[in-house]
Amino acid sequence: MLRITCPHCGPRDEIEFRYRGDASLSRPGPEDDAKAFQRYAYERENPAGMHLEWWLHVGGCRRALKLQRDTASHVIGGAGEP
Amino acid sequence: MQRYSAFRLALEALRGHGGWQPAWRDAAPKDRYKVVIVGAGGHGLATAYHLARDHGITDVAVLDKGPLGLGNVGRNTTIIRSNYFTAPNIRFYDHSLKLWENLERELNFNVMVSQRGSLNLAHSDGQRDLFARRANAMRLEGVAIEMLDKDAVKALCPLIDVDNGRYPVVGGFLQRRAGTVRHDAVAWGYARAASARGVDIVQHCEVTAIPREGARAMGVETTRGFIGADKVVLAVAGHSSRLAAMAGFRLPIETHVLQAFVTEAVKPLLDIVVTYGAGHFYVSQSDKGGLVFGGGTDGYNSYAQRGTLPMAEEVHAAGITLMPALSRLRTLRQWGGVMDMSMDGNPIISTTPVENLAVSTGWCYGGFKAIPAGGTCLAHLVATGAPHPLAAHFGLNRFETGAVIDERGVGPHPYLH
Amino acid sequence: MSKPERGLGWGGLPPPGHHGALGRDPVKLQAFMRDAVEVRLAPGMAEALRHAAAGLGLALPGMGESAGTGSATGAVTTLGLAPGEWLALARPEEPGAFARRIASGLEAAASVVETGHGLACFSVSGRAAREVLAKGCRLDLHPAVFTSSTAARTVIAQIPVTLWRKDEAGAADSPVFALAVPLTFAQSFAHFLLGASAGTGAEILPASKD
Repeated sequence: MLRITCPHCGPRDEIEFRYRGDASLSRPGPEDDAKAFQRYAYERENPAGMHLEWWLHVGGCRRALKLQRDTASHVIGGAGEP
Repeated sequence: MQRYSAFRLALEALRGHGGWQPAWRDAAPKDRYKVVIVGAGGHGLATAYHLARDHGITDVAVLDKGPLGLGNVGRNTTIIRSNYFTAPNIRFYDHSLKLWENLERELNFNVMVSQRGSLNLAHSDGQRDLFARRANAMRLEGVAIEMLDKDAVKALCPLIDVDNGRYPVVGGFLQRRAGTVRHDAVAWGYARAASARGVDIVQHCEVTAIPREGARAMGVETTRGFIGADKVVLAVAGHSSRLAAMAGFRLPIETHVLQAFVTEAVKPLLDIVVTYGAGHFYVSQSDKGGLVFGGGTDGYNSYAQRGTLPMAEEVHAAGITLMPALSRLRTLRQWGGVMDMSMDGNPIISTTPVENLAVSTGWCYGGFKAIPAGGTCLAHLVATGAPHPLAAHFGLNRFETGAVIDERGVGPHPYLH
Repeated sequence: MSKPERGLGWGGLPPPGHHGALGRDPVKLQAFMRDAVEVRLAPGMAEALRHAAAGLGLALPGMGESAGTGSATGAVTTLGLAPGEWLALARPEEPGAFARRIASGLEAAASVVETGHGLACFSVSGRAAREVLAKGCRLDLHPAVFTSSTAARTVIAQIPVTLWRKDEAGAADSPVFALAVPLTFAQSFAHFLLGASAGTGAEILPASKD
């Protein structure tokens, strides 16, 4: 059970949130080649450890937040506004 | 290899079962092999077996960081089926189902293949139309499937509350050749058959590095020393990204946890596999009598081989909505397995940027049913260097060319597959 | 022929009467109706919105708070549910009138969307109300934390719920929790309330406009 501290609503249960993937990626620009888009769309570091990720507080304030979470222990390092 | 038979069983019964031999050799690693397979799970062991049987390559080691078969091959809900939608997938998974049908004779091992049938339920007209389309796609590939209406569902499985208020059942489809297999026995059976053909099965041997020389892997550095290899194969569901990182490349994979559950044992209650179409819930009854069931992934990246409570609650809620009688049973055990979720929800059997290194990954939560075909195709790729025709669409390059296979059309979001 | 009562079509709770155990302290369950509009601050218009809301007599409480203005039939309860986002609730009047009044009063300072037709509201009151809701609600509903001026959105029984208190003044020992759920989930949510209150017992009251 994760307890996520939403910057707007305070600590809430994970059931109110939806995971939205790796937040460390940045979208390539128009000058970048197809390979850069392939890396952005598909390839993931997928660490067994601290991971920066998007969560959407869909059952609360409906705002997105970034979360530092350990994918092996589920320890949460911190949450903040994007 | 000591063959198993009714005669052997009777003989051993008479002499106090003193004559049984270990099913496979617990080998110590040699310095060098032609092929080193990392991961002694279903796919790794089946690949070793097919390398030996189909291609005559027996200088093979299968390494595992723990005891054999403790990963996902021993953690799944044991379902086999081939009710897919895209044609290449139907062909691949139905080939696997055909191999399952003959596996016990092939391996001389009782893996308890039970073709009890698998029923998928539809809960709206739209879903029924989608199932009809999927059924027709299967028929075009020559795979038998039956569409059922609500009354036929009720007659086939009286446990299902077809009129439940939230998600009433309007029909479903039934694949009679689908069913279940005793999962641990699959690992044991393949290990025994591969070992008998000369394959070394090395347990408690964790890979810690994959040293490279230019574009080639030299072998694997392990907790039991360096093992050289002409070819390295990764079949390490859940941890493929970690091993790929050791070899210096990234995969289109996220690791997610999937839970499964078993109830206390009861008398025969459910004689088919049932999959709920409104939530994500699938259930069958094991030969011991427990109901084995599972749902979707927990929904976020996780390497923890355990599940979390919200998904456990959701799965139980879905089960009781579908079969109210289940509320009278107690859940005995719960566990989690970590799986490679690929970006299009389909597996990868492929060569990689490292010349002599192949991977079998991205099986999401459908890897168990694919073990016989996955082993066949990966062995073919390793032995010949070319993809097996049945698995040609599972190459890594599909993420570059855009030829991804998306059964459900949800895009590159593993948490939605 | 009289016009059909708005908001009564979804059934939800069973007919008035007793439900569940015959305890000494049954909770009261009641369905009630509200007109509702969602108010969203337009970018860069914070000052204009404050001004327009004051002119309209509409309170715009902070995030996680609720505030009431007016009294009796003209009363409006406003819930702060996200930064720059409020849900304003009022007793049912002519269809569309409430939303028109708010929209014309706030003009360009906010986007105003009528959502009342999609909401079903329930109240749970009595000394055991907190115990009953705790069977599905993961927020702390202790009166020191969830006061009569608190509002929140959460998930109960896998259904999105907007939660606030609908107390008469001075009813601290007997809170009235109000819960708004999407109309299509009203039946499922009523089912949850009946299950959760079976142990303490419940008095089901007739659906109300108040």
